[in-house]
Amino acid sequence: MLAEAHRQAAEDIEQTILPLQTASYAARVVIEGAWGAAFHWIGYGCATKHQSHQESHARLGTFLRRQGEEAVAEWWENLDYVRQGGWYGKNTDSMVVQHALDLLERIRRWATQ
Amino acid sequence: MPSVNRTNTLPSWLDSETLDLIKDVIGVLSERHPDLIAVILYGSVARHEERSLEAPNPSDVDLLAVLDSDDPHVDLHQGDALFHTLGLAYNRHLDAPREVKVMFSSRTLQEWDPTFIANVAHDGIVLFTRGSLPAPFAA
Repeated sequence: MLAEAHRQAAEDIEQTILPLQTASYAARVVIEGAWGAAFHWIGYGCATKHQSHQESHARLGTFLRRQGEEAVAEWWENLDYVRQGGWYGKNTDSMVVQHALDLLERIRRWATQ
Repeated sequence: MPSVNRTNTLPSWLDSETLDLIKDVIGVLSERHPDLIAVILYGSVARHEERSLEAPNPSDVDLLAVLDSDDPHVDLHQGDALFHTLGLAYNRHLDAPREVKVMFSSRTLQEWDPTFIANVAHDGIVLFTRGSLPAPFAA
C-alpha cells in the first residue's frame, strides 16, 4: 500500500471504532480496531519519515527498531500485548480500552507530526 | 528479602540467539522491576511443539511474568516502564530468529481466564522465581 492508502485505512478504522468506545460489548472490537489503525499509522509514518515500511505486522517492533524508532516500537508492542491479552481471556474493561486508545493516539501523533 | 532462584531449565531445543534473548529479557526485568516474582515459559515452545525456524512463520516464545501486586491492571499502570525494559533487551538481539513475547500478571492471576492459567500451570516451565510462586504454579 502507498502511504496515503495507509493513512486512509487508519482514519477509516478510527472513525468506525470511536463511537463504540463506551459500549462494553464492543471492547474487543475497539481494541482490535485500535491495533489495526495503529498498524496503518505506522505504515504511513514509516513511509513518510523513512521511505520504507512493512506490509505485515510480523516482527514490526524489530523493523521499527532498525529504523531507530524505539519509542514507537514500545508503543506498538504494548498495544499488541493488549490485543493479544484479549484473545487469552484477559479482562477487557473500559480501562483496557482506554489504554489501547491512548497508545493509538501516541502512534497517530508520531505518524502525523 | 526473598531469595532469588534462577532455574536452569531453559529449553535445549531453542537456538542460542533466542536463548540469549530470553536470558536478557529475564535479566533486565528482574533487575529493573523488583516486584517481578516469576517468569514462566508456556505455549508451543514449552511443549516442544513449536514451528521450526525453517517454517514461514516460526513460533514465538511465550513468557508469563508475574508481578508482586494485587492490582489486576498492574500491566497497564506499569506499561510504559515494562515495555521500555523489554525494549532494552529487544534492542540488543535484533537478529534473534524467534520473537519473545511477554504477558504480565498480578500475583492473584485474577485478570486472566482460568483456562489460560491452567494451561500455563500444566505446560509451563518456570525460568525464574523470587520468593514463592502463586498457588497454581507452585504445585
